[in-house]
Amino acid sequence: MSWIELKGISKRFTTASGPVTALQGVTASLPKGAIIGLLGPNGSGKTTLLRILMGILPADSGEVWCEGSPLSASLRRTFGYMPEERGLYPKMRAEDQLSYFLQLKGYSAKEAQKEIRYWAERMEAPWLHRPARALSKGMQQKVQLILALAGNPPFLLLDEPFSGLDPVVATEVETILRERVQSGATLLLSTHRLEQADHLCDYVLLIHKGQLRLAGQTAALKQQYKTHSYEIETSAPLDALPWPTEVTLSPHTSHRATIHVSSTLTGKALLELLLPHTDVRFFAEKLPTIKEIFLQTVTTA
Amino acid sequence: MRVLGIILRREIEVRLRDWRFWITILSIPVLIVGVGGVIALLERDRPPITIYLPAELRELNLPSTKRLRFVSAPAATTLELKAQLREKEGFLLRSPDTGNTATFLLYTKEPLPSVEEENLQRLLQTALQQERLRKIGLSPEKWAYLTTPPTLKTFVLSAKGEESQSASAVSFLGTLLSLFLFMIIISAGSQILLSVLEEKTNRLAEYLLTHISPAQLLTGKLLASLFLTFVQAGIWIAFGWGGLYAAGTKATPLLNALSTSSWGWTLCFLLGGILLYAFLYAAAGASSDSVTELSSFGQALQWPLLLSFILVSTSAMQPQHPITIFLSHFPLTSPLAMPLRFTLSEIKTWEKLLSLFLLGISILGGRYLAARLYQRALLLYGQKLSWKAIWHLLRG
Repeated sequence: MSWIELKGISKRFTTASGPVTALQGVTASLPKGAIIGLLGPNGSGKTTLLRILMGILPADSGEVWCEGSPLSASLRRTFGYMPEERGLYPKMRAEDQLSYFLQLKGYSAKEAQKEIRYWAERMEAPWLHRPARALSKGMQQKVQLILALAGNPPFLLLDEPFSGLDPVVATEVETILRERVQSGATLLLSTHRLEQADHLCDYVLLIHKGQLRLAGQTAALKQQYKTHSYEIETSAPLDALPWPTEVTLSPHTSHRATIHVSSTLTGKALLELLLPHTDVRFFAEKLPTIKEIFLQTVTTA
Repeated sequence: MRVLGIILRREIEVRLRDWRFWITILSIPVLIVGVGGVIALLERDRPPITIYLPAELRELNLPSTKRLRFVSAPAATTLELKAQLREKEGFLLRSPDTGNTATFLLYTKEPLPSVEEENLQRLLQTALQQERLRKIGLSPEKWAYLTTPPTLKTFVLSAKGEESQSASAVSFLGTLLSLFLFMIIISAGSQILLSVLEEKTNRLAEYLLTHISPAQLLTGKLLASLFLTFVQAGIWIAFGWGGLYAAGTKATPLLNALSTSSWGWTLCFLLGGILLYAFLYAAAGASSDSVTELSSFGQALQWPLLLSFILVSTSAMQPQHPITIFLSHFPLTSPLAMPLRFTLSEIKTWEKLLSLFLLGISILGGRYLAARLYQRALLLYGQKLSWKAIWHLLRG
């Protein structure tokens, strides 16, 4: 179900070395209640798109719509945002900063305190009374995440949320984000680490040089771009088996290989051919990764 | 308004809690008072210098002062006297006159301070004068009649009538006012520069801009800077008042050196100067990456005020000189130049209004520049913008 519509978003910057097109005619529909990956290499336009969605930068052309009408400033204020370039006032206590920013967001001082206490417990953060410079990077990132999550916003926009995090904290953050999505929020997170999208994102937008190259559900894209490849492991040596001509073998060992099958032969039919001659210990379709899909899209464009 | 209040409260609280803010405000008056006190103490505790006079010089009747004590030299040769000298002691000899010039020789163990040397010179001149008057048969009274200098009192005529003013107070006020205005304007500008850079250096600007507009953020910082500048000015004025009171001097002559309306105009120019430079420094902060990496614009901004302070102080001797008049109308220098001209001559109302008008236009221009750069350059991290880059940002 489409929730946010991007309609022909374009943005150019004028720099000392000439004009730079950051985004060119980006059109996409973002579904509600999903984890959406905004993917692309560095400099592809991801941050610019997020800033336009948050209203920090105006688009040169195009519009952002939400549920059939232009996205209003009041609705934007309910969104939760975590920018890529993020920091804290070093000498100010973390809880004072949270209170300050939440008040700017529209909370009263009392409401802000209540919200901070809730998240301090939820994030296991009893150290919020400390000044920001006394906190580790992971702790600081948690503070910034609290700012984005406070008030349970319906739309979370996180720019490189896992950057600089150790695996433990990254897992914690991922868990919390999944919980939010399960509670009904929509999450748009940008990353240049395409492998992250594979296990995290339900929906992806692939941006390259300011243009939207690909958009769709992760599972559907993988099916669309699958190359009819399988991983197989047999008990008998691979070279002893009667492979049909439609099969191309890329052996890893004498018993394990990646096989590419022409579209006329199904996996089931192949198994039926092999089973009389060997036990099959492992057989799985090898779907392309998002990275492979992206590279394929970019090189053919 | 609510958001403005939140920003204002935070900006003021943070600065007031910062010990460096108090050091900046209190260091100058405390330093002045402290240095003055130390000098006074050293003066008070300094022992006098004893100068031994041989028999032939006793006739000069040199009077002892607080710092120089003249006593008869013991009977001894010059060599013996030189050998017996201790610290804070000396002895005086006179060599034969050469024409009209009398030459005295002073021997001491350590160099005589220049102040004492001058005092001794004056005492010897007076004593020699008395000696020569006696020789030519002229009485001291007749000499005083011939040589007493006249007294000159200066008055400045205003449009309303004759005003009696102390020339020294006016001159002192002019210098003091220039220095005070210069420091206040620089202080206000620096505060806002640091405040803007704080958010840029700590990568907070983007998050802030999701909830408030650049104009709101800038206005909040400006108002906070204005408030804190007036706190600072108030503390300095209080210290100055207290210092004058402790020295037994009243500040009334200084206050009376300018009319009430002139003080009012001075306040207008001070406010205008603070606003203009605050906007310009905000723009400089937005286009820089850190205090040590100020953009080309930020670096250039330091010069107009500094040059205006130097030029204004120099040209003040000629308040109607074309350069002085120009400086008192050019917006970057008028906050210093025009108030200084108030202390030196009567300025026509249309001149003041024109200068304020030009300053007002510049403030609006500064505000536009600051808002534009603030919006566009605040998110440019890690960059020290060149003039070309700034121009491109402004053009959009």
